[in-house]
Order: sequence, then C-alpha cells, then structure tokens
Amino acid sequence: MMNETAIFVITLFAPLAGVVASLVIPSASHRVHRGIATVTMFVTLAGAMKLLGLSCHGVTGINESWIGLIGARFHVQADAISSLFLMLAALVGLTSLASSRRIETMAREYYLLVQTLLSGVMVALVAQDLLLFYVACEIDVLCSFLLILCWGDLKGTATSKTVSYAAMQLCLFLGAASLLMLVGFWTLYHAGGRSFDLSVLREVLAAQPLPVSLQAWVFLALLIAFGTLLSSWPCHVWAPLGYAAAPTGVSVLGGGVLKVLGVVGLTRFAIPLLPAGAAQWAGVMAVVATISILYGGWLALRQTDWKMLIGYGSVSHMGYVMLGIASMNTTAHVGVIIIMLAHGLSVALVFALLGHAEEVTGVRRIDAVSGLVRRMPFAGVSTLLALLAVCGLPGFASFWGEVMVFAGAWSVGGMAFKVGTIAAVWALVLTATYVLGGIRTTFFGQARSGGAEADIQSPFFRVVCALLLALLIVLGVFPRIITDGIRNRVEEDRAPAGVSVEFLGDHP
Amino acid sequence: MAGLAVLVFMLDAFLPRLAPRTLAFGIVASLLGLLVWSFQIQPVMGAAWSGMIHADNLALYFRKLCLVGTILTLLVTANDRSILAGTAPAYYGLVLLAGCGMMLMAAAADFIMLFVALELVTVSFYILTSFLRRERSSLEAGVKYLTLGTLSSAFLLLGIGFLFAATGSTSFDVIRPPDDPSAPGSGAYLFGSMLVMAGLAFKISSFPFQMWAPDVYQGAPTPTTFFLATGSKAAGFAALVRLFVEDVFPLRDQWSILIALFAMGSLVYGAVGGIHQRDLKRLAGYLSIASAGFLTMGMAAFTTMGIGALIFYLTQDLLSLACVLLVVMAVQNEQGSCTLDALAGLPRRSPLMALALFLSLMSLAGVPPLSGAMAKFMLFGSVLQRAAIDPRYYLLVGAGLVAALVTLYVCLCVLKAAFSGGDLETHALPLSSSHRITVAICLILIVLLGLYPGPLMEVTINAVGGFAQR
Repeated sequence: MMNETAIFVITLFAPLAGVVASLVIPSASHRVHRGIATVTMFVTLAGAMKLLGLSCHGVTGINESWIGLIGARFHVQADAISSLFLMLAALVGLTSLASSRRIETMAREYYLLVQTLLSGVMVALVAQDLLLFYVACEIDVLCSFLLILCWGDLKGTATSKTVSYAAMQLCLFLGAASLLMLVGFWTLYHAGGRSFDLSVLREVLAAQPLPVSLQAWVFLALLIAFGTLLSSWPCHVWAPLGYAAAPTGVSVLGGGVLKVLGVVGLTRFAIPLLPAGAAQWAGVMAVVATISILYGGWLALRQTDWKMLIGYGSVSHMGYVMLGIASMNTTAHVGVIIIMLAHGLSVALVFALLGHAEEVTGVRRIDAVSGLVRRMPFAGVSTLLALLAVCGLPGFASFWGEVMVFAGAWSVGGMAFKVGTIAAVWALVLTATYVLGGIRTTFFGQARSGGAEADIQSPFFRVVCALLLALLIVLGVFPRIITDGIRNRVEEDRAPAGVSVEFLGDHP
Repeated sequence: MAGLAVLVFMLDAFLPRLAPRTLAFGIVASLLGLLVWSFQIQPVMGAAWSGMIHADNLALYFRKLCLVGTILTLLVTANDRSILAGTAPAYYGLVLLAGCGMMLMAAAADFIMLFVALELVTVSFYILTSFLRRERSSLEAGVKYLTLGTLSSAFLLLGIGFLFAATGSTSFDVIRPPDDPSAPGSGAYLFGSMLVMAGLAFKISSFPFQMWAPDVYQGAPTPTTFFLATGSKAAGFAALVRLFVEDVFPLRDQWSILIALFAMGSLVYGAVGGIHQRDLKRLAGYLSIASAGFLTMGMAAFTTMGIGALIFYLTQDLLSLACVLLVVMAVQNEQGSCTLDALAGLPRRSPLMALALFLSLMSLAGVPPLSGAMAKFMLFGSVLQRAAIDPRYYLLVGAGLVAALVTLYVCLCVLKAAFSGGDLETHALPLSSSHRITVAICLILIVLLGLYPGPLMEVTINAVGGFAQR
C-alpha cells in the first residue's frame, strides 16, 4: 500500500518523468516518444483514479514549504472536485495523445511539451496556494504558445489570420490575465497575513475582511483574469482562433482542461476569499454571461469551419458557466462543475474526432465534406454522439449541469439573472441549430469520394472514444454518483467565508 | 580583492604567449577559484582601507556577482569569432580590469573611491566597445559611449565637488543631508546630489539618461554588450543602493518620487522602443532600459524585500542575458548579422539554441516558471506593499504592468521570427562544446531559480538586511 503523498507525486509528475526519459533516450523515432508519453499518461490516469477513490474518504494532499521567504507553499489537495478534475485531465491527456498520431516532425519536442503542459495543468487543478496556481497556469500558456507556433496549421480555413498571429494573440491575452492575477494575489498576500496559502488566507480574511471597496477592485482584477482564462466575452477572442490554429492534440487539451483553470480560479480562490467583492460584481457577471452565451452562439452559427464552430460554441458554453458562478449558490456551483466535466470530455472528443476527419479528408470546412457517417462508421457515429453531448441533450452529462445552473440562476432573482436564465434556455436552441446544421451537412448526404479505410484504425483511439462516450452517458443517466460529493465539497468551500453571500438567496 | 588586481596584471604580462581560447579557459578557471575563495570571506562591518571600501554583506555579494559576470563574459568571448580573430588576450585583460573596477565600485565607501572605480570601468569600456577597429559600427558605438560617458563622469565629478563643498567630506559616513533646508550649503548639497544621481543613472541606462544604450549595445562586440548590460549595470545599482541605504541621500519624499519617475520613464521608453526592432542587440538595449525601470521600481519601493528583489533580478538577469547573447552569437558567427531574419528556422538548425532563446526571452519577459518571473514577482510585490500606504505608487504598478505586457509582446515577436519560417533544407549551426555547455548550465539555472528561488532570495535579502532597517 503506497502512501498518499507518493500517489500524489506520481500522478502529478509522471508526465515530467516521461519528459526526462524522452530527453535521455537518443532515439529520434516518433513512435518511441509517443510510447513514453502513453505510458506516463496511463500511470497518471491510474494515479488519478486512486486519488478519486481516496477522496471519497476525505481530503488528501501534500503541504510542503516551497519559497519559505514569502510563505509560498507547495500545497496541493485532492478533494471531491479537484480529483474529478484530475481524472478529466488524465482522460483528456489520453485523448490528446490518441489524436496526435500525425505528428512526426520534431516528435520528441512535441511530446515533451504536451507532457509538461499536462503536468502543469494538473498541478494547477489541485493547487491550494495562489503562487503555485499562478506559476502552473503560466507553464501551460508557454507550452501552448510553442505548440501552436511550431505545429499549428490554419490551412484550409476561412480565416486570413496566420498561425503565429493566433499563437501570439493567445499568449498576450493570457499574459495580460496573469499580470492582473499577480496584482490581485499580491494584494491578498499583503492583506491576508503574508501568505499565499489558501487555508491561511481564508482564516485571516474571515477574521478581518478587507474593506468592501478594496475587495471590489481586487475581485474585478481577478474576474478579468479568470474570465480570460475561461474565454468569456469580451476576453474570448484568443480561444476560438487559438484552438483552430493549434494541432489537434493541443485543441483537445485546450478545449478540454485549460478552460477549467478559470473556473478553479473563480470558485476556489476569488469568491471564497472576496465574498463582498464578488457580491458587488454578481450582476455584472450575469450580464457578461448572457452576452457571452448569445454572442458566442451567434458567432458559432456563422462559422464555416468545424474547429472555429466548436471554439465559439465553447465560448457560449462558458457563458453558462459564468452565469452559474455569478449565481453564487450551491445548486448553480454544482452545475458549473458538472458542465465543466461534461464540456471537457465532449469537446476533447469532438476536437479529436474532427481532427481525424480532417486528416483523412484534408479539409475542415463544414460544407466541403459530406456523408462522413457512411465513409467512416465508427468515427462518424462517435462524432455525432459527442456533438449531441455538446448540445446538452438529456441523457448526456452536460444536460444536468445546465439544468442545475438554470435552477440556481433563476432562484437568485433580480432582473439580470432572470433575463440571463431565459436567454440561456433559449440559447440551447441556438446551440442545437448550429450543431445539427453542421452535422446534417458533413455527416449525412452523399459520400463524395470512396475509401473505406478512412475510419479510425487504431484500437487505442477507438477505446478512448468509447470510454469518453460511455462516461458522458453514464454521468448523464446517473448524475448522482458524482453530484453528492461535489455538493458537499461546494458547501464546505463556501461555508466559512460565505456569510455575506447569503443575501443573494441560497436554496441548496 | 588585492589578489585579483595582482592576478589581472600578472595575466596581462603573460598574455601574448598563449592560444586565445586556452587562455580564456585558464582565466575562467582561476576566476572560479577566486569565486570559491570569496565564499570564505567573512563580512566586516565598517569601512576598511582607511575608510575607502566596505566589506559588508552587500559588498561581498556584489563581488561574487561581478565575478560571475566576468566569468560569463569571458566564456561568451571565448566563442566569439570576431574577437578571437583579433588580439583576444588584450580583450581578456580589459574585461578583467573592468570587472575589478566593478567590484571596487560596489564596495566603495567614499566618493573618491567610487569615482576612481567608475573611471576604471568606464575607461576599460571605451576600448571594449570599439575593440573591433575595422568595423564601423563598433567604432561608432565607441565614440558614442566615449562622448556620453565622459559627460556623465563630468557630472559625477562636479556633483562630488558640490557635495564636498557642502559637507567638507567625501566619505559616505559623513555626508548627510542638512537638517535645515535654509542652512548654508543645502543648495550645494541638493545640486551635488542631483549631479551624482545623473552620473550614476547613465551607468544603469535609466531614463532620462538612457539614449546611448540601444546604439552602443548594437555596435559593440557581443561580449561587451553582455558585460555592459550585466556587470556595469549591476555595479551602478550597487553604488546607488549603497548611497540610498546608507542615508547619504535620504530616500524620502521628493527623492522617492524622483526615483519612481525614473522608473516609469525607463519602463515606458524601454518597452515601447523595443517594438519592431529588427536587430537583436539593439533590442537588447531597449530591454535593458526596461529592466533598469523594473530594477528602479524595487528601489522606489525601498523595502528590504524590494532591494533584495532588485539584487535577485540583477543576478538572474546575468543568466538570461548570457543565454540570449550566446544564441545571438551562434547565429552571428555563422551569418555575420543578428537581425530577426537571421534567426528564422532556428528550431531545425539547433534545437538547443531554440530552447535557450525561448526560455531566456521568456525569462526576460517575466513569464513563470522562469527566474525572471520570480524577480519581477517580488518587485511588484514590494511596490504593491508600498502602494497600500501611498496610493500614488499604483501609478508605478500600472506602468510596470504595461511595460511587462509590451515586453512580452516584443519577446514573442522575436520568437515568432525564430520559430516560423526558414528554409526547409537547413544545416545545423556550428557550435563548440563549450558554447553548448555554457548555454545548458545557464538554462538549468534559469529554470531552477524560477521553480525554487527561495535560497538565493534569502541570500540577496540578507545582503541588504545588514543595514537596511525598514
């Protein structure tokens, strides 16, 4: 029986061990480095499962001094929520590998970066220390920048932008976000007993809350920072283009887990630490969310390129998430977590499968291909199901998340939330329109060219697809297996500092 | 200290008999020995050498820093073809002399000592910048540096004269601001201190005395550029820190506003000026002005943490800049120019150099998890701490944020040029093994200091903590 710390370390840093192994092995064959990455990813998945199991019995974690001078700690913790996110990261990592088969130039460097990125994401997902979270987020930004710049491709798309433009845009938006995060975190540090540790900060700030006006300013800075990470309107522009330009494996990671970091930042750090500030901005957040939902959906409707369509659709879905976060009650927050899990799995799957279709057909415009279901039965049907999951059809996990967000947001009352909820419900129709429209054109209709070998051949890829779809459906049919754990955790997160949020109306 | 000076001259005397590269490594080895030895020296409180120099924590730390800077400069030089082709031993000698001057400058306890040390550095640099006599750009840089350098020396000397007139002494221990602003001599004190500030601001290429940096950095031989941007700047900051921390110039009220203005000016000028520069060394000049701004931010905050962060920043800047310039030199050795176009397709030509360029530029831009980010993180933290008391400092924070973002953009532009484009049929960059090893060591240190900066940060804060009470 290994102890918990060892499991934690193995889970988080197995990809880094893979990085070292790749560096040491002199072989330049892409198969070797891919193999190493696959092994580390399975180790990570196993570790994440073990941690998920452990988290049912209580919280586990590591808490070691990191930079003693400024009180920064290497504090990570697997609770009901963060261990689910770890699972998500591991699964999305596998999907990313499955869809990276075409990478053959500079394969070693590619897999190095992907593994570093994954390790960074996982540390950020479980971080309980502001500085640790900040650093881990930035590692991901750097890796994504390089991956997009070196392996990205925008050929055959409608946009006139270049890959390097997309990469720079992504890096600058996220860089600006991280600077705001830095200012916010330092202000909290100086006010909260000179510590970056979440538990210490919460205790200190609960005992002596910051003045409300200062809280409002700091929360605004953090809101913009995490809103950018989340790709919520008006800081969303980097995301669709960035993921369209990225190599498929990176779009998978980006759409699947990177956006979760924004949710983690808001729900774990910003709202519990600055309850009064959050309360001041709740209305604005609801308005922003509404615009994000409608505008993202409208832009998705106008796209002619699958990756861009999914990118804007994702902006629209992040609007639901923002609405749920703004509601600041347990129901909505549980919904947000479920949406993030479902969105991560389904978008990762969709990106991977569309990437496959693009590799086979060589085009990615929606109207350039048709009859895909007949040409590649397995891939076609999987894509169909994944796209339906993105729509939030009942029977898939995202449906429950959306319902809970609607219920939570409606219960808040107030004009902004009522309008937001109504808009969000109607936006489901919008989502269905663009997704089903795309499906009709690409997947049905006449198959223009033959070739039965076009379907997914790799058993690994097939297993991953089946696994993700199964998870989406199981969670859609029995959401209770995770909701109870999440609900307890959300209530615990909100309990000590939640006093001043209560007046917004709490109906768990 | 004396040992080093003797060593310099001994080596100078024996120079012509050895092969240039072997000699360089010989000097590096002996300097490494000195570095190890310098860890044995215990700090002494109060001034030594009849009140001329200090041997306290700050002086000792900067001595090590200057030693590391000199070592890195020599390692850079040992890979520069244009210098190896000329009279390299003379170059090494001058580098050692300048390094010696920097150490004295950081340790000076008296204005006379400060001036002599500064002149030792500056005069060496006059030759170092114009070392490639056959190249117009190098000569042009030399003339520019000579003209402006002499002017700043004149400022400094005149300032020292006024201070002497006001207080009757040149010792840092004695010179204090007059208590009564209407007392005789307070005007001379104020004027003198302004002139001294101007002289030192030239050394650190801070706004409004920054004009020379891009031109000189571009024209000078690459190792000189490196030494100017690191050693010379570190020594200038060491002198400034000492003047302020020892209360020769009290950093209160108007002074701290002035310093904050210097910082804001440098930040904006350096960052904005760097946009769309095509020449990497010229870009390094602008980045150096911006980094002078960040460093001055730490001084404006004037907390132990701020100054400690300043010293940390200087230390890690050595590594990042060395990395960038080593990459530049690898390209320059092959193609004869160091514009962005010469970089194209770098990952295919040398993955190590591409990685080095990426990590070191990101470290300069201040992106975690690299050392530059930790330094900037601490600097921002100390200014924000000050801003909680005096809201005017939020302006400085704002300027810093803008500069950080623009610097990031500038660095990304370079990376874009390096990582995209380039011919498909490329040949590997010719690199010597010492070149590779130096780059690899710098890279490892950059990442290590970024992920685990604690120990070094404690050392730098201790270096200040000895006498800064706030």
